[in-house]
Parts: sequence; structure tokens; C-alpha cells
Amino acid sequence: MNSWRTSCIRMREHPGTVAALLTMLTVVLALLSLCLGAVEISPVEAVTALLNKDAGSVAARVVLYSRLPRTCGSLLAGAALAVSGVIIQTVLANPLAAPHIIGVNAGAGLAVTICCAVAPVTALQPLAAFGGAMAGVLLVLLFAETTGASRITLVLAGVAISSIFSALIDAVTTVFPDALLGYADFRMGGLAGVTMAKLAPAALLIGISLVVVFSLTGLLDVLALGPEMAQSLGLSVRPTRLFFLTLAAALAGSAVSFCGLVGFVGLLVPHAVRSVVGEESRPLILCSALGGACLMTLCDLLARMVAAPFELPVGTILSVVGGPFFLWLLIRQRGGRTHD
Amino acid sequence: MIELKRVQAGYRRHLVLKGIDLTFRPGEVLVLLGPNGSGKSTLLRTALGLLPCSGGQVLYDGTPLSALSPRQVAQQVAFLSQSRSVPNITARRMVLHGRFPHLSYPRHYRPEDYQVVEQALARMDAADLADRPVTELSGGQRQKVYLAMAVAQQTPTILMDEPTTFLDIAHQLGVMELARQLAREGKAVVMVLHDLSLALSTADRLAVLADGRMVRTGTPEEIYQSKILEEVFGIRQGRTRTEEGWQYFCTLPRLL
Repeated sequence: MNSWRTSCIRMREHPGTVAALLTMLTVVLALLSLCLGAVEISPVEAVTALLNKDAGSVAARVVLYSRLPRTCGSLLAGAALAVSGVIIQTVLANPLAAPHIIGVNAGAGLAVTICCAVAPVTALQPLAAFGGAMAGVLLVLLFAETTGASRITLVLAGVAISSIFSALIDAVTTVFPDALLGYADFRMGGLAGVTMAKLAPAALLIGISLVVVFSLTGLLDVLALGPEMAQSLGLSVRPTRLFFLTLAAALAGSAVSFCGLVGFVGLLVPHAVRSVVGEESRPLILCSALGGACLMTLCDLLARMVAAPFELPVGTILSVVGGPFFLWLLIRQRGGRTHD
Repeated sequence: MIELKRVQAGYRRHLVLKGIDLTFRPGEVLVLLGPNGSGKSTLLRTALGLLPCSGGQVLYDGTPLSALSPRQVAQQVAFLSQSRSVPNITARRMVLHGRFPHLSYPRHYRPEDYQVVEQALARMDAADLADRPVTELSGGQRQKVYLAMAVAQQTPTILMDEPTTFLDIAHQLGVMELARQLAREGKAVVMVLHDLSLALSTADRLAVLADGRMVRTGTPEEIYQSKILEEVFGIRQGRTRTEEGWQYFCTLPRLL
């Protein structure tokens, strides 16, 4: 345990090394994601298909039309959800908060479901998801600011908001049964149906949001000091909090628009990365984006391979890993006490 | 110079400050004294704009506080809060945040900011803590880092809410010496203290609050002679002359 702590402290002094290692791991996992599955494809074939963009062979068609969108989807969704988790935890000063816990993902899911039922245009889905995620964020923020709720209470409020949104998703899919094809996959979170057309608008929104977040990490650092200290250092706290939560909603909502209600990435990754690189926002955001991409891609690989020839939704794998972690986090936060 | 004119402020429906008039003068250590709940911390938070005035006004060099942006306020006043967050970052990074009000977009720290930080850490005798995570420092070490952050902010006024908390007596005296030095540099230093002896022997001016009202302001000698502290705190005060000047002490009435 002590050696792990010592290693973490050493790594904290070299966040660039951590980022480089994670980048290499991301590349390896992305390549594996292109190669492994029902049809095994060699790395050379996969790379050749990518470079030539020639869909002549079966292997090339599998890579270009199935595995590439899926791999890009897992990388983007993982990065977006992890960074969204970092932002939400920092802004709400709550390590238990994450997009799927406080109702952001469910809000996005409801908006996507309504969009599919009323105006089934693929390009509109990320925007609708962003709107739904924003509704979830605002509800939680309103609750936190008006009640001054404790960490645990805020999480419970988020669970309640998630339940309401989930019930409304069920209601919409009951009235419009054709609204969400692959409904189970959407509820559990999955990447099987991802196409480049579905991915493109979400990727644009995620890309822009990540660049903006990364260029403004200095503000996030000051916000992390708490509202009173942040304001005494000259930060306009309320608009800044709202701005970052908007970015968090854009990131989580975009991810939900193509991979469904995936949970736990926004909780697991920020905690793991924070323990290695510390809380300084710049390395934390960069390494969380890479770590989220790695985790999501790894879980998607496992989802394809664990019960082959059947395929599990990636959300199932993440829940199996993330659920116990969340329980551990709850126990650690409460420190065995009954009150927060 | 910061002036509070008939300031009223509080939390929700509970009015804490009831018409406070006070001026934070450059080159002076002003210590706020008063029992728990008398409004000392609320006064500092109101002067900084963290709490809105429900009556009266706060003026910064004649300009109403409400007309200034948080950044403009932070360029004028550094604040060492009573409750401080303990982020998992290095002490140097923490002190560097003190330079935030001086940055313009995209808020990247400049070489001169790092230079100021090293000077502030050295001044607080905390240079050896620079690379250690704040989470791993003792209460006293953290206090030094927060003080270094306030110093690095390089403002004409510094507000400190109980800056000697967690510090042993040697470091408490060190903080008071720092306050004196900052005042000699022309800064207005305003502190909330609970240690009456420390306040009486260090301050240039004392402001005594009770139940949200300014009971009396004056030099330590004036405050001592008025016996207002005995009345407000329900104690007996005394002093003895030493080679270093007057040494003050307080006891419960029945013990003297």
C-alpha cells in the first residue's frame, strides 16, 4: 500500500509520463478493438484497411463499417464521460457525483428518446441530448444551491431525478414503441449500433467541448478551492460554475446520444486518475480523457469477448466494475459514520 | 482604503451586522475583537463582497463595492478565510493561485508570477514545503502556505480571519510580526483574533464588536483603559510591564 502511495507521489511529479503511457495504451486498445471480435483481423490488415480506405475485402469492410465507428465511439464516449465526471465533481465539490449518478445521463437519454419519437433526425440527437443533460444539471445545481445539501443527500437527489427521467423514457417508449430501436442496448449502454453518421455530430460537440475545457483549466483549478476562496481570488463563481456544467452536459449528452446510458466511467476514471496525477486540472483533464477512452474501449472489448458469440452491452461490464467501486467510495466517504 | 459606512448584513433573515462604521487604513494593523457570534467574520466577508450588504455601503477608494468586479476586488484585497479547502495539489501550486487576480485571458501563469510565489514562500519560511502536497502538511504548515498565498496576491489590503489557528506560540508571534511588516510596507492589515493578549500587544488599532454592533475602536491603550473588553467578554484584564513593553493577561473574574 505504501509503495503504491509512493509510486503515485512520484508519478504526480511527472504527469507527462502518465499521459504518454495512457496515450500508448489508448493506441494499443484501439488497435485491438479494430482487430478482435467475431471475425479476427490481423493488425496489418486493420491498418491497411484504414490507410487505403479500400473496402474490397471482407476484413476491410468489417474494419471500416463496423469496428472503426465502434472504436471511435468508445474512445470519444469514454473521454467525454470521464471529463464530464471531473467537471461535475469539481464544480459540485462532491467526489460522489458523476453524470450517470446525478441524472445528467438520464436527462440526455430522455431527450434522445423524445427526439427519436418526435423528430427522428440523427444530427439532432446530440443537441437534444445536450438539452436533456443540461436539464439534469440545472435541477441538481438548483437543489444543491437552495438546500445546501450534503454530499450524500445530493447523490440521493440525483438518483431521484434519474428515476424520474427513466420513468419518462419508459413512458415515451410505451407510447412510441418504434422510437428507440435497440431499446435494451440504449438503456444498458452499448456501442453495437454506432455508425459514422451517428457519431459525426456528437464527435464535433465533444471535440469542441474538450478543447474549451482544456484551455480553461486555470478557472477549474480556482473553482476547486471552493466558492468562497474562488470568489476572493477574483472568480465570478456562479457564471463560471454554470459555464463548466454546461460543458459537462454537452460532453455527457453527446456521449449518451450514440452509446446510450453508460454509467460509471465518469466516476471511476476521475478518481483513479486523481490518485495518480493529483488534482491539478490540466493533467487531470488530459489523463482522465485518455483514461476514459482506455476504460471504455477495454470494456467494449470485454463485452464482445466475454460471452462470445453473444455480445454484452458495454454498460453491463462497466456496472459490474463500477458498482462495487461506488459502494467502496460511499463507505470511504462516510467513514463508517451514519451522518455526512 | 476601504470604508464601511453604516453596513448592515447577515444570513437570510438573521441580521448579523447592525450599522457598522469602520475604515481599514493603510499602514495599520487593525484587529477585530468580540465574542463568538459578534459578527467579526461576517464583517470581513461583507467587506470583501462575499456577503451582500442589506444596508449601508462598502467603499473601495471611494468607489462602491457593488460597482467593482470580483477580479477588481481581488486585486485590492487578499483574504485568508477561516474555513480553507485542502486540495490535493502542491504547496507551490496553491500559493500560485494567489496570482490569479493578476492574470488576463487565458489565465496562464507568467515567469514573474513564479518569482513572486518563491518570494512569498521564503517569507513565510515555507520554501521547503513548496513541492509537498497540501494534503500531507500539518495544520501549521498549511497555515503558512495559505498566508504565503495571501502575500503572493500583492494587494494593498489583507484580511485574515483567525490566522493564528493551528499555530504554536512561536509561529503565532511570527504571523503577528508578518502583519507588522506588511503594515510597515503600507498595507492595511485587518485580522480577527481571539487571543486578547496577542491583539493588545500587536495591533495599532482595535475594533470591539458585540452583537453585531461596533462597541468601541481605539488604540490598545485606549481599549485597555476603557475596560470595554471586561464588559464584552465578561473577564478581568490585567497587565505587567516588562522589558519588551506591556504584557497583557486575562482571567475569569473570580480568579483575580
